[in-house]
Amino acid sequence: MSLLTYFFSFFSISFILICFVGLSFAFDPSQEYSFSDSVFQTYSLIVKNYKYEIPYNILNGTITNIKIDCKSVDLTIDVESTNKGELQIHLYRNLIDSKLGNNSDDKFFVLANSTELPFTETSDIISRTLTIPFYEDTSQIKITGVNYPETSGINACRGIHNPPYSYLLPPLQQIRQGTELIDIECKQNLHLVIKSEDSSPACLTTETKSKLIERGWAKSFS
Amino acid sequence: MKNKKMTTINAKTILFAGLILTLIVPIAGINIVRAENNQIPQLEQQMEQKIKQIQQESELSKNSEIIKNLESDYYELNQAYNEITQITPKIDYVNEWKTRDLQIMALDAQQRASQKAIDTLQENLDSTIITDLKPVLKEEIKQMQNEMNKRDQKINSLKQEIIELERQSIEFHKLTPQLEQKLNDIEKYLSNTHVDEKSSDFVGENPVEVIRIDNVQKKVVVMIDKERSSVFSPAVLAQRLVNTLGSEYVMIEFAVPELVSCTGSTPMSECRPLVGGIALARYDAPTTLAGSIGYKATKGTDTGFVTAAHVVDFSGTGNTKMLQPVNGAQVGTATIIKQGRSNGDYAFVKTTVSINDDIFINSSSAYDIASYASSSEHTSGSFLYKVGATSNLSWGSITGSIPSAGMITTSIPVSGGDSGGSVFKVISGTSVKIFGHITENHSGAYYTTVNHLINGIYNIVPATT
Repeated sequence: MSLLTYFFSFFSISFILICFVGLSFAFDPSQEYSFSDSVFQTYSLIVKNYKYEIPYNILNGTITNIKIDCKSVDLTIDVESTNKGELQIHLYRNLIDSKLGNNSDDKFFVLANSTELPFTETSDIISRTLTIPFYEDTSQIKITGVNYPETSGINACRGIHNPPYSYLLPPLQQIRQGTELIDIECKQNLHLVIKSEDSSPACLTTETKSKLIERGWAKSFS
Repeated sequence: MKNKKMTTINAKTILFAGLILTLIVPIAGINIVRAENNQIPQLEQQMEQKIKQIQQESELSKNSEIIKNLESDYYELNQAYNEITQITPKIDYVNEWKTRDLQIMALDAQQRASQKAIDTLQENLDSTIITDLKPVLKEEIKQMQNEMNKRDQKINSLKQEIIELERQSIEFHKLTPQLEQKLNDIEKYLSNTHVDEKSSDFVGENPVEVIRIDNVQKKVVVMIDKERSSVFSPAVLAQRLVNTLGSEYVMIEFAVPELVSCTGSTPMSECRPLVGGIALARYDAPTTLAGSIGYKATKGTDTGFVTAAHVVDFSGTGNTKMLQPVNGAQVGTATIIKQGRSNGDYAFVKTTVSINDDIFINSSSAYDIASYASSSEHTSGSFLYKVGATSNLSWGSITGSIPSAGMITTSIPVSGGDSGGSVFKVISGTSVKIFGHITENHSGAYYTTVNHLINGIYNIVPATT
């Protein structure tokens, strides 16, 4: 084998390894970092106590708004299109999914101004990626997951803290979002307390909580 | 020909309607537009004779077989009479309007395409440096603009025609003050004598349940309890009406609903025969409401009903047996289960108990499925009803379509347990046209069309008898 062949073999193997390690790292949910692929933009959608990151790439248009109806399992994307274009969007399964009662994947429906749009899809266990061609006059794209009247909302808004896909908002932000004190959620192993001074909420470890309550700085929330 | 049930589809109904019509015929007509046809007096005479014979038989021999035959003769005569006296408009205003609306939509689409093409040509014209090309492009733009102008004219003319159709429809259906008064008088008389127990004129126990005026069809509709209809004589009632209110042309329709016997007043109850819209449970989860019956259907020589596949086997456990109602007896076994959106989420359950081509109204009456929608009838804006086990009757309109799944999106509100329920349009009285069955909820129901099943490989067809 020539030196050149060795070089190319080494280069190819290294390249594959780098790609594999890179991708594994990129989709490791235990790592706290944001999506950083320069090709994709990210839309942050806040639903109840969670912020969901929605990476997308759009050709010949801009996304002006995204909203979700959790009960109906409908994700609505407002689009300003400049020509025929294409939207590629990653949908985190905990934000919206389309599953049958036996937990197998069913297809999404994609509607543009109430008319069905064809699309292609790739998926993994965490997310589903839709590539949707749209028309010049498309102003709204609606993605709907399976939603039986008997199990309303089961395929949407299943909030868990799972960066970089979804983040539990800090307690004060939850309050600002309109969450009642009783509905405030804390990350795993943290406990909700109320600051004595101004009754604002905070999430603390067991140890800190005991100390602050002991010193009168906080009171337990029950 | 249907041999039972309600409104104008029903042989007896038409017979009775005609019965009264004929008794009132001899004096001047109000609401029936007389056709210039010399058959009319002859038919009127023949119908009158039949009525007399029926009355005689009813009072004297009471031979039900003879009466039945006379009624059958009368029905034929009455049908011919109705055809030539134009009691319904010859123009189907709704369909005419819809046809023009679709033409306008198609023309609008062409206009948009032409405008885009003109814009492109204009861009080319502005940017080209080839002098010879400019006149060619200009000519092309001119021609396209001419075509657009012609289409504009066509669109405007179609819009005018729609306005004219609406005007004609309103005119046709308008009641004269005299007829309105007459219908009100009849309704009041019948209510006092047959429904209002507090009225001094109340005749006592009788099978009349509901009386209402149908402004569109220009008639009074009398709903009769079928179980007790045999003790009721429309002929006698008609004679009383003539004696009390005078003789004039007024249509009275006697609607005799198919007897449905349900144990309660909601679709959650047990109903035999089975009808559309009532509660179902799975054999493997007998105490849980799984969904609703859609509509009676046939698959080859099998009879049964259509419902949603997820109602029959939600978790993929392989259930096929269905119970009615929750905690009730087994009523059938699913022979076809097509899960998922790609398949249209439908199942065919072959029944082991009797089933009617009806949809639940209350414990003793039901809508009658007279026909089913064609594939072109699921158009945006169409107003539809649904009946399901949980929310019973609700309504809304079509908002869009999902051709890949054979599904239609609507604004009809639904609740858990309504899955599989019937989606339909009321044609007249309680006669309905079936459109499909409920599958999903997205701020309004999705339904799978009857046509998706009819055109599918299993050839499942809604039953109308």
